[in-house]
Amino acid sequence: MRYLLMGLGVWALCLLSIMIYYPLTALVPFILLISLFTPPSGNSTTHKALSTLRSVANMERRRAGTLLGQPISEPYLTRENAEGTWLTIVLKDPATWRDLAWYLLHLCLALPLGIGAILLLVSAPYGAALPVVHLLRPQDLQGVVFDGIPLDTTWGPWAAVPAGVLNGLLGWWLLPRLALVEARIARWLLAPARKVLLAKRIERLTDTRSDAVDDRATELRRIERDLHDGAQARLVALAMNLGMAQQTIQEDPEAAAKLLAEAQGSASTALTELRSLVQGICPPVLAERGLLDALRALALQSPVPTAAHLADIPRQPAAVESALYFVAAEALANIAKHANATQAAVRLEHGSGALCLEITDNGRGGADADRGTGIAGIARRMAAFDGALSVTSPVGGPTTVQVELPCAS
Amino acid sequence: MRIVVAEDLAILRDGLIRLFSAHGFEVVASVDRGPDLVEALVEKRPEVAVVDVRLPPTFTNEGLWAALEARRRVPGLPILIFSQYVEPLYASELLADGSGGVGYLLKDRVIDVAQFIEAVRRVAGGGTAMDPEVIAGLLARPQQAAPLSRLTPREREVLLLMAEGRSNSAIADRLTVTEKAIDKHISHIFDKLDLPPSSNDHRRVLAVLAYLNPSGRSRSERRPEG
Repeated sequence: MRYLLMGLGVWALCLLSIMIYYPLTALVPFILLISLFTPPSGNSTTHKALSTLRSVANMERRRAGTLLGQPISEPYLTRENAEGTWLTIVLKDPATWRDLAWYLLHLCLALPLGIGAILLLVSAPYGAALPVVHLLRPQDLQGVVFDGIPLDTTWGPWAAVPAGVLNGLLGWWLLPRLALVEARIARWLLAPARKVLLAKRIERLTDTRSDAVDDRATELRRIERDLHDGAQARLVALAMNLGMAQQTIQEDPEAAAKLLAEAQGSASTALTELRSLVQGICPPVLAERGLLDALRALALQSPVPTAAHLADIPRQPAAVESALYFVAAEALANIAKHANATQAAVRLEHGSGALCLEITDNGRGGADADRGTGIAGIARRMAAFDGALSVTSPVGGPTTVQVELPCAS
Repeated sequence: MRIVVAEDLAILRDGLIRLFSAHGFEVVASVDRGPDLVEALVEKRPEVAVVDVRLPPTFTNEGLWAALEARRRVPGLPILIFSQYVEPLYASELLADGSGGVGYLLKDRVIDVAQFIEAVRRVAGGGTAMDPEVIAGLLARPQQAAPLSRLTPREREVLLLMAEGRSNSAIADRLTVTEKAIDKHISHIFDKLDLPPSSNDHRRVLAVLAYLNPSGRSRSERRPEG
């Protein structure tokens, strides 16, 4: 009901825009057609007309989207993937012409539907009032007919009461359905065409793919450097010590013993460094036990007491589990370093085709996605899986880092 | 002493067999696969077993599951788990059943042969051998900072060694002081941390670890996938 009244409001707005911007309504399509063929040069009337059309269409998208429960995105070509002035882009955009089609259809539908809605609902109290009018001033009802009931008879006004109520009930039942039909028409004409949706998806996939490829290359370079400077260096030192020990073992057994002890130390350090390298690539507990136990292990090891509330989800592809694990690891590391928190929690939920991982803490908040690359890095990694990252961190806390990934199961 | 060795890397397995034989152990079975291990442990009933966490066929934590299963069937069967890395989650699962004779060490520790053999003997005797890295990680948390700051540096050293499962005399040897000095340190530690005193080494370890890690929970019921 509210929807149709609002529809009436939009109709009124459309009417006003006709009276202000189109001096001669019938010439609108004609003017637009002419501007297609003439060089577009500051034809400000057309410009204003088209931007008004777009604003009205966007308002309608928001309204229909709210009613249908599903947002309708804008289908327009952006500056980046079209050339020419604003006017040529808009005129060449098929979405503009669909907007116009919707506008004309709406002109025809909105007025009757809106007025019909008001009439149906008003007829209940109107019918109820009729007997009173009949009793006080029956002459006003001479020749008046309500719903096919002549009101100048004695029984007429009384019969009008249930008739009015029936109208009201009919309106009550009918109007939401009409509103949905109208919203669906709006969606049909105003939502992005399949081609546009596909084009946008390809753009997004290209971006996230190149990000993912870059990330991989950076990571491999980091591993190479860590191995080169860490474990490889230690093993060289170890080999050296063993060689020297071999040489001096006859003449100076004590010195040889010391060198051997040093060699043991180098071996130990090399093992420790390799261990932390492996932890950064693929934590053993993740490979052995999967995401759930790996998250529990993270919670266990966190310096801040961390509770883990994990839904019992089926095993996911290794890449997804690894990505989620490192999100949690990064978030918990940030909490330990910056948050001054006394309590943290890791939540993993699963529903309506999406996995949701949430890390909260009761620290001082103020985490900024722009400062520091940690959070931005997480966002990039999630984009490769079509995932979304959101960080809520008001100053004073609490902070919530949430990641949502679509998943098949 | 009768020992079972489970390790899939042949060169390391042979090395361990040689090491143990040289120190007076009798290797009654050497196993390189998870499924064979539980049988070997339950049938042969060794006095101690040294088991790698990761074994074929799944190369996940076959060794750990076998150890937990064997200890379910034979309570208190002494088993020392060793691994390329230590995971506090596994440590808490091993300690969950509360009975002694359990150890969790990094494979690195074989570098110091004497200490390693001592740890194996300690586990065989019903004690505990937790890797210093697990303990260090637990001690490093900030919420421990306040109560632990009441301890002197020496007492903190003793606490670390105690949490590994060493006996008082072993700690005394290690820090080259008298056993009486260690006794005094330990009773101070227990007083300052408000822990009930215990003469049983393993109970002591459990008390200290529970103190250090109150949120630790284990899930020893899960089987590996595949």
